[in-house]
Amino acid sequence: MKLSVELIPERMPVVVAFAESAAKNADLAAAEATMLALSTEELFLALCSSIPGAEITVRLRDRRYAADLLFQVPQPPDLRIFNITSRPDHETEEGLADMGLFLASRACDQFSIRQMELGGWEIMLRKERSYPVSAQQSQPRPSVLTWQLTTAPTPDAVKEFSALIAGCYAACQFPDEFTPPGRLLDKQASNEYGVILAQGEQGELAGGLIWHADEGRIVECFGPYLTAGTEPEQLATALCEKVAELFGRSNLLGLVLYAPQQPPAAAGFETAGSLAIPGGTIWTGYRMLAEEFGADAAVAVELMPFYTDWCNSMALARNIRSYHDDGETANGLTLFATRLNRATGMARLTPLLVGRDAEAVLEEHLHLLDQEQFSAIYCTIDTGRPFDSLLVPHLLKHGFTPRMLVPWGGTGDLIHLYRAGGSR
Amino acid sequence: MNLCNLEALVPQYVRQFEAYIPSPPDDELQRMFGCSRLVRMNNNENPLGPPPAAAALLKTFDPALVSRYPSGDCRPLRAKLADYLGVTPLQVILGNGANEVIAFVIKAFCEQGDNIVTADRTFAVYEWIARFSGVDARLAPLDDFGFDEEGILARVDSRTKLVFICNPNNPTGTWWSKDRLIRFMERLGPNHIVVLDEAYAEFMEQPDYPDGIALMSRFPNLIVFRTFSKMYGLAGLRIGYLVGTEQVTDIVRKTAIVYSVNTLAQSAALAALGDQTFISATRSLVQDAQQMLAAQCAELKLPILTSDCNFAMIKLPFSDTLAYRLLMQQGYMVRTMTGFRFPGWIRVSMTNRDAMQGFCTALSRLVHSRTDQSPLAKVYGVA
Repeated sequence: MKLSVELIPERMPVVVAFAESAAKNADLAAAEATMLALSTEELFLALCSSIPGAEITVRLRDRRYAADLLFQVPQPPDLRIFNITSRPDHETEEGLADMGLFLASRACDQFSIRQMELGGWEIMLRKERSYPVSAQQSQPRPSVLTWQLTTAPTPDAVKEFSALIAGCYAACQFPDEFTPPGRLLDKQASNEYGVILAQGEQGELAGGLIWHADEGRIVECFGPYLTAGTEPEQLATALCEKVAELFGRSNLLGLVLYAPQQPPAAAGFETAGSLAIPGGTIWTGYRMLAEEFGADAAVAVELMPFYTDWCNSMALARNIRSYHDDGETANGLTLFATRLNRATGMARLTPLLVGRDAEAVLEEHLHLLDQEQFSAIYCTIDTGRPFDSLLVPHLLKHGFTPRMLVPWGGTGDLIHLYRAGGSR
Repeated sequence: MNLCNLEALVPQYVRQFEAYIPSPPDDELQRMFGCSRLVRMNNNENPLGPPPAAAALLKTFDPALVSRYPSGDCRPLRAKLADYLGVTPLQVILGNGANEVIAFVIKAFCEQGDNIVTADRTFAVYEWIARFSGVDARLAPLDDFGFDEEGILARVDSRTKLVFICNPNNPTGTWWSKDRLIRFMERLGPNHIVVLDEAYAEFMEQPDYPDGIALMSRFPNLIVFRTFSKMYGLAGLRIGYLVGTEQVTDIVRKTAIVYSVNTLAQSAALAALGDQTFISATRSLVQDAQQMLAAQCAELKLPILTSDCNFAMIKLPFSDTLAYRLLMQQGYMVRTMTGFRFPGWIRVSMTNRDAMQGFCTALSRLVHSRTDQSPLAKVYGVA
């Protein structure tokens, strides 16, 4: 579904009708459809005020578990309005538009903006479907001594796997989006996610692993989640090798594993750190898929020890350039893409633009996230984007510490920094 | 000019395809990995270089010839190849490396909606060219590291134009015997073209290894690929060829690019062809190197796949891409096998005794050093 429309307030009913129709098409429930329509209304008005009269296109991407409305605009709107910390201003017309966006970002599950490769900007509103709570209880399972791997499990097996995860692992050890079973099944059907299962001769479940590959160059893997009684090391290794085999000849560059237990060395993942969180530990691993030819990296002087240590440990060939802030002209403003997971209290900030107002914008975000009781905040810095380094002193000052390096995770390598709630 | 509509101009099957990025030059790699020398063991090149006659020709090549176009259809070389192989010159088509010849054949026989069938873990170029040409590539899993006759036949249908058999297979070195190939051809029938990629044929010493060209009179739907890059050591000049029946090559010639093989390559290939002394010396070097590597792997308890070919595959107890990086730091460049859908394996090209010995030492050091994977995780992790 696609709509081309001029950015004038009179066209708003057409756009809202399109959003409602799209939501219906994507099988969203009435309440979710209303929220998407509300977000659309507010976003459209904000754009009308920012770039009046411009021609835009709106299209639907049905992800099965969610509906995305994608607004393609030919020129950059005033990007400041997209920071989630933009505060309502009832006094001026522009302020009202900002307030609308403030609301829009909350009515949706994900709200992002990106510059398109071939020109223009794309703003995305995502509304996820809600799913009934599962009535399925995890049953005691017999030991499975011999198993086979499948990359195309039946829907029933996927549902059983979702119940296994929910029943046998702490809530912090898996993303909540893998339950209830209906959601996992829809995620798999979207083709952005895949499930690899190990099953015995009669189809009995021995364990599995879930992967997620969207638009980046890295595949996120979750697991292995195993049934009790299964020989863990051999099965974990087989599941990890299978996912590497699956993406080995793709254009993706690496795998990042989030594991509920330390993956065995033979599984091919390099240990990338672990994170103790209330209720459990998440182990992280990294596996490069491609042959490394080396790269240039711009790194803030404050992160140099961390980065060089990890480059040495992972045998990465990097021409490292220490980046100093010498007062040169940077972007005019700072813009974060923010992903929130209220269920786990986790927030992820990704700098899209870093400017001279970086510290102030960061402080606003942290203040808001603290107020809304997010207990774990992540921020990623890209060594392929020199201006990201300008943000580093402010991140460290506000309690962030570097935790994990994901080679080739962005334009260059991604450094994940972590801040526990309230730490300063 | 704004190229906003560029994406709309690109076919979907090209849009989905990611360009292959070849490795940078050696000096750049040495600088990045901090090694003072680099031994390439990743491309299955011949460490002896080209045969002496070709080497002599290259040294005395008249630069004046470079300003003239080469023979557009490699006529002198085709004549010599035809004589050497026992076919007619019209049965031979040359290309700028075997990769170009693969493209000639796919373009000649396939259109959108058609498919090719090959193995999932073999030379990637058949699959790549098919996909960016809008042709479906159906992949049959290997059976015990070898091409699986049943799996291939199960994937063939009325839209299957080409079946690619890499014999011996790169990277596993496994091969079909003459009897097995004949049985497969009989079961497949005459309605599909079978491409037998014999890039490593000159290395094979097994008596029942089939000569595909000799089978063409019985199976006119056979095409055989060969190359001057491997045994003849002319990889840098890019020259390969196909042999088929005249009926088949008349069709392939329509999509073959003329003048794509340069004069130097044609002249060197003419000089190199059929040097049996050189072939024996190379085979002997390969055999020694295979034995040395197999002994080292036995000591390290690493599974290894060896063959008559000038490469071997080794299974490591950790990531192949990590091994690649660590070996690069020691000056040895191997091929990671994750890209061939063999995660955890590396493919190693056979080379001269000194370099092979050096590699064995580096491999041993690497395997012993990986017992403690990453102490830094403890420093920077919470646990």
